[in-house]
Amino acid sequence: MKMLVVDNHPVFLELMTTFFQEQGWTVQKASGGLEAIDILKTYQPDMAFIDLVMPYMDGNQLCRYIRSKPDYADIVLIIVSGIAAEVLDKKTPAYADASIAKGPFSEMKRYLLELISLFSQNYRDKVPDDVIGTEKLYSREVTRELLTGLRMHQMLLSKIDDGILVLNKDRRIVFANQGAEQLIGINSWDLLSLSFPSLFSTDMETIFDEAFLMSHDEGISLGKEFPLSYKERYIQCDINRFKEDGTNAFLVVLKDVTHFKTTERALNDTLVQKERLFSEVNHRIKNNLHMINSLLHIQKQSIRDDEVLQNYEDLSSRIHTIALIHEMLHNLNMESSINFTQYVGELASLVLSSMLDVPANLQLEICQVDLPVEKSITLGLIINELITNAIKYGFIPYLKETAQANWIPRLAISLIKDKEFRLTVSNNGAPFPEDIDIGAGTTLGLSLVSNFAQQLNGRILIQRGAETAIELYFPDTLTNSDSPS
Amino acid sequence: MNYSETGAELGFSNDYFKKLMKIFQDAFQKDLKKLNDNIPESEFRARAHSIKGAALNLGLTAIADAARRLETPAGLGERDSILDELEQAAESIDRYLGEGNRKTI
Repeated sequence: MKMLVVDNHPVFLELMTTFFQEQGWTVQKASGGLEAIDILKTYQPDMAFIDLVMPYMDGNQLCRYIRSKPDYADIVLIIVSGIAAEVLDKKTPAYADASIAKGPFSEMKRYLLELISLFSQNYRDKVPDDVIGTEKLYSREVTRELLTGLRMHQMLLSKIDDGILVLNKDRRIVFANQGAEQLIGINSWDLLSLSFPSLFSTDMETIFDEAFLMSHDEGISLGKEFPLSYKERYIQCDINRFKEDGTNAFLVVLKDVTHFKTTERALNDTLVQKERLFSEVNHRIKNNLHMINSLLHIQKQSIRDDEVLQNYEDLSSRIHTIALIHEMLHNLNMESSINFTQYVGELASLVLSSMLDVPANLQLEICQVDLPVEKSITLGLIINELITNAIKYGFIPYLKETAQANWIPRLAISLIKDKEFRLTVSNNGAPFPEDIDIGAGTTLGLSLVSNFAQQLNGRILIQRGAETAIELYFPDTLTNSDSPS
Repeated sequence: MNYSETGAELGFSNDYFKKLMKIFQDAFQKDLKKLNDNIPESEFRARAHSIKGAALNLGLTAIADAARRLETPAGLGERDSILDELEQAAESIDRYLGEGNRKTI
């Protein structure tokens, strides 16, 4: 007869091995469930005597594993445990053929011989359903309490969607819950004793090797940023190392993040589509504005009245300012806000070069701010008007009247953020006329500036001195983060 | 406790029982060291359970009883005194095995 004894205590292994050898039977012993599975690959016993409480894979799991394999269907499974009476409710479970409570070995020997005799003579119907040998045992109310806790944990683990696996130090699976079974697509009993990294492609083995080495009590998470691809699904894998019986063991949690990943991908696709559409719209607006400007330019050729011509040029400049915003939106990677420093620089250069025949010195001091498109257009139109005014009423009269050698027009634009924003446009040209009240909007340009400033909840001041500086103060409620939609 | 009598009651020869007691003692001392360390409660109970099972097999009723009490919540409250009992039992087994030079835990 061929026997297998599975128990983590060396005394019991020695007692059983010697006892079976004395009967002239062959015996193999294993100190745990995983070792027993390895032995079964090359040694098929007639009977297996299995303890219930063992580290890593317990006797309950081992029995179920053996019963799940058709090749092992003929093996008689006998549970031999100190907690057999409690854990089994005094009845042998369906997955085993008999059960004996641990006690003095002189008593146990008798039970063992009786059972072996019944099975070897095929008197299975005479094998007691109850756990044998409980009368000699202590009252074990406490173990019952512990086992209730254990059953509750097992029930909880079976209800969790995440895959929960316990690996031994060699990263072989000693426990897998139903979540792991579904995620991996392998029956939980077939998962037992498999090498966990072998479930993945060979190129991921290195990643897992490093992760297992780096894992500690707080654990390490693989695939949090970029989920791991596994059998057409995406997973996140958390690995926690712990000590079991003095050696390293691992708790692995597999999370199926396929749904999140596909949703994220769909959102990204939508975003890309939206950006393309946004870019296309801005591109078309820019083209249409340029077309309007071209029409104005053609119309301008037939105008002889200087004042009307000037109005046309002012209007053209304003349209150009708006077109510039849309051109930048199109070019600057379709962002929802634009870089204001670049915007103001391009705008000022454009207006200066189109209105002045002489070179001008342009000074910019723009704080770092990303303004929403709508506010950028308003602020851009204000700057456009102020620059136009500076050229018309500051530089051109000064150039005509003084004609000083070496004098260079200088335009300074600054945007400073303190408690509120302060936009300053100053020039070194002719002084701003004393009789003009900037707030009264006496010209169309100043009227526009006044109206636009109100849109920004701002106020305008003029500083008359060696240089003329027009200041616009507006509250810091315009940036992208807190601007109203 | 007279270990020779215990072995005889179980039907073991004196030499074989000593061999079993030596195996038991090696595992018992490792378990005792762990029980004195700050190990998680689940491992503490599992080790107490392991001692109890083997002690029962060998008819070491005093050790089995002390280990059984360690598994209970009430016994956990008397942990230190029960561990002392087990230490004394280990020393007694040492004397039986004729070793007498057991390392202090």
